[in-house]
Amino acid sequence: MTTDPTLVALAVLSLLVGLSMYAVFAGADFGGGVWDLLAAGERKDEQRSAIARAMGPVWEANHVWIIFLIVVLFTAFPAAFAALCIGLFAPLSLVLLGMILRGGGFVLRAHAEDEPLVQRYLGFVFSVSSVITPFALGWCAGVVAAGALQPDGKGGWLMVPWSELLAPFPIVTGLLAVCICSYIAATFLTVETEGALREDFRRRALFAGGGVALFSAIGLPLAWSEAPELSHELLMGRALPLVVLAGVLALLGFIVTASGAWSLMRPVAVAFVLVVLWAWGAAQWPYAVTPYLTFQESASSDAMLTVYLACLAIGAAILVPSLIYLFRVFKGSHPEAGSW
Amino acid sequence: MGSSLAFHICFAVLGIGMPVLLMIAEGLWLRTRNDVYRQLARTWSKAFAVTFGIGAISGTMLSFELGLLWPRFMEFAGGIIGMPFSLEGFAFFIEAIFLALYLYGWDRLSPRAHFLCGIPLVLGGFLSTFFIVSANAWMNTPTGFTLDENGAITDIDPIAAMFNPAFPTQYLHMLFAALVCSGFAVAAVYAAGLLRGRRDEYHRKGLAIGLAFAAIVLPIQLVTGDLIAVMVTKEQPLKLATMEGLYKTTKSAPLTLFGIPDDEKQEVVGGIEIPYLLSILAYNNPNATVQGMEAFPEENWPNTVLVHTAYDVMITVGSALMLPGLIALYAWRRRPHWFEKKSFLWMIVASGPAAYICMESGWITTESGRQPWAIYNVLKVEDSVTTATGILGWFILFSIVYVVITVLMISILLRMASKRRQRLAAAGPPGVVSGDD
Repeated sequence: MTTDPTLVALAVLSLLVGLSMYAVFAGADFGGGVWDLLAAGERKDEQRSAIARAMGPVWEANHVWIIFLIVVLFTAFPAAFAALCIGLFAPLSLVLLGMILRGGGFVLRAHAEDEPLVQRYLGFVFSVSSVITPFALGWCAGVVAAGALQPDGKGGWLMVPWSELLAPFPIVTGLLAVCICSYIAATFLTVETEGALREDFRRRALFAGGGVALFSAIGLPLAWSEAPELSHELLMGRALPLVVLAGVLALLGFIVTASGAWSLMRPVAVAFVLVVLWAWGAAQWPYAVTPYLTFQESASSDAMLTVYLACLAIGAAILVPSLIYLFRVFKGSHPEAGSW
Repeated sequence: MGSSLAFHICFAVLGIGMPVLLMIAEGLWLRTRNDVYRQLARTWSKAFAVTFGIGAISGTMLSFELGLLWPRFMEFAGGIIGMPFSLEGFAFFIEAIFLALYLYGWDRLSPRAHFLCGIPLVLGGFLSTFFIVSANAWMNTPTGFTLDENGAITDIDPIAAMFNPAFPTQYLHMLFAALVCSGFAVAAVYAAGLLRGRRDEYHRKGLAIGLAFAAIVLPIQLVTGDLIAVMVTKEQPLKLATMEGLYKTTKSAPLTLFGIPDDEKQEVVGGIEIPYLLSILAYNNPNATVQGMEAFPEENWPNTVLVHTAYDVMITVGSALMLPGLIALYAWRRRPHWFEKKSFLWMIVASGPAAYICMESGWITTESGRQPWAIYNVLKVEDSVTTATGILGWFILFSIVYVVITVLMISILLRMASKRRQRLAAAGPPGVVSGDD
């Protein structure tokens, strides 16, 4: 019994939308952690508190996107979910550890005001794990694209060996993910701060943008040999227009950041991240696990996908206005977060 | 996995119950304009922020672990019972959004808008429970699919799977457990404060709200407990027999309290038998016949000692928790000075952890009572675990992280309380509240 391809495509689309939201919003929070780690200069403390203020009210809501992605993956594509969890056991455990330490470090630090030492230590845990988590996520994506996650021939999956995990391409995609998060965070922070602090973050946005360019430049040739399916689609196939667009947006991002066109920085950065993600998605399609398992093959039944999509529509109708309200209240015209 | 769940459930129950208590306190403030209520609500919202954050993390842990530890279970079950998990994602989203508005919005929203933000917060918690318990209930009473002769799943009906037979009663029982736990937890904190000599309006009102709430919902919980016993009798007779330590199929079965089940001798050593009670509980009929464990193959028996003991603890502690409420009800009109008595306050302090013990042992009863099955009569636990290796090291690492986080969280909550006292001692005019959380 095969599942209706339209339903499969819609379910994949919902995953990609969820991933986009996670990349932009949670990506900015992870990037905030990176800049907390790299806070330097005379305004070190101001930088850190600007980051904490920006993240405080919204990071939990942003974090929920990853839960959304996991539950949708195992509802709509249970076979792919099982394959990823067995094959990528070690890197995914690292993702999880990173998320726990990141959230725990952040929440507890926010409430340890009177204990500078504990606070500093928790801040360190928070910021280091904010680097580890996006790295491990990008790393996982690279491993899957490289075709390193393989079936065991008995209906199950093999754990990806360390030699494949530590191949250059997945490592570079991990680093690229960290740079993208840092770029988007620095951009948001530039827009949300003022004066000298704004200048600090603007320089950081440029610096992170440089990192994105560097690791893209290293990653593409590596992909050519290590992840041929992906790179062929990226450079010669259906994802090419998006890759070109990403290049244009990267250039545009550099121009608006360098010239200090504040109002344009945020939209350009968001568009850039989305286009990069969708380019990757278009290049990886139709595989959930390249090149062994397609989304179609791993999909749930028609009945399940229909119910899921119906619930998604209803859920979105409630969720979207709530999210908009949240961001309106805390990210609107008064950038200072409320006190409590 | 078991340890993560046991950890998560402690925070999850607060996530369900605290919003209700917050709304009560804030509602009382809006009505009476007595500032003490507002202070209570603000303090609770701060403490709740910490426990919710940790709960969100342990919830993330669980959703990952479902895959990392039970990939074959999820591969089998995801296509049938994934729906409530997805919906729970939405409910959790709503909770996180409105919690943020609630916590950070004290000074940014009008009092009324702020109070109204509590409604989706409460609903989010109730709905989360609804969906998660639905998935758990499905593991007890799997429906909504057929297995063909090759073991392949066909005829999937996600709605029927979600509203499986065990679900309604299990949901109510868990929901009220959460409310009871939250009520007693709050009451216990203020009773402890009063015992330390902080005898002021702030502490008395905090205690009163928590205790009154717990005392009102607890009797309802006993009713849902009875409903669940009837359901288990029908759907999982082996689980019921194990809970009760009933080896032999018996007419007019007695209820055996305490004692240690002995699988060799097929009897409960040292138990207290209450005639007819089990037949009454299970069938509302003193002469009904209750199936014993002997009716089922021994290889499918759960751990009899664990399940029976956990069940005993749940019902004894649960019943004992009625006491504080009853005493308070009596004292309220006739002996108000009892509320100041140390013995009464100590009892309230004890009822906090007791409620948690009760809830955890109930959870152990239902989960261990299903063993060796992961999905009752369909998939065994041993067939659902991961084939990945090297798990032990990660398990140890995560356990250490949990312990550290818990210790830090508790110390930070305590510090929050003492800071509040210092601030008030420094600033507040005498006679105004000077208490901890």
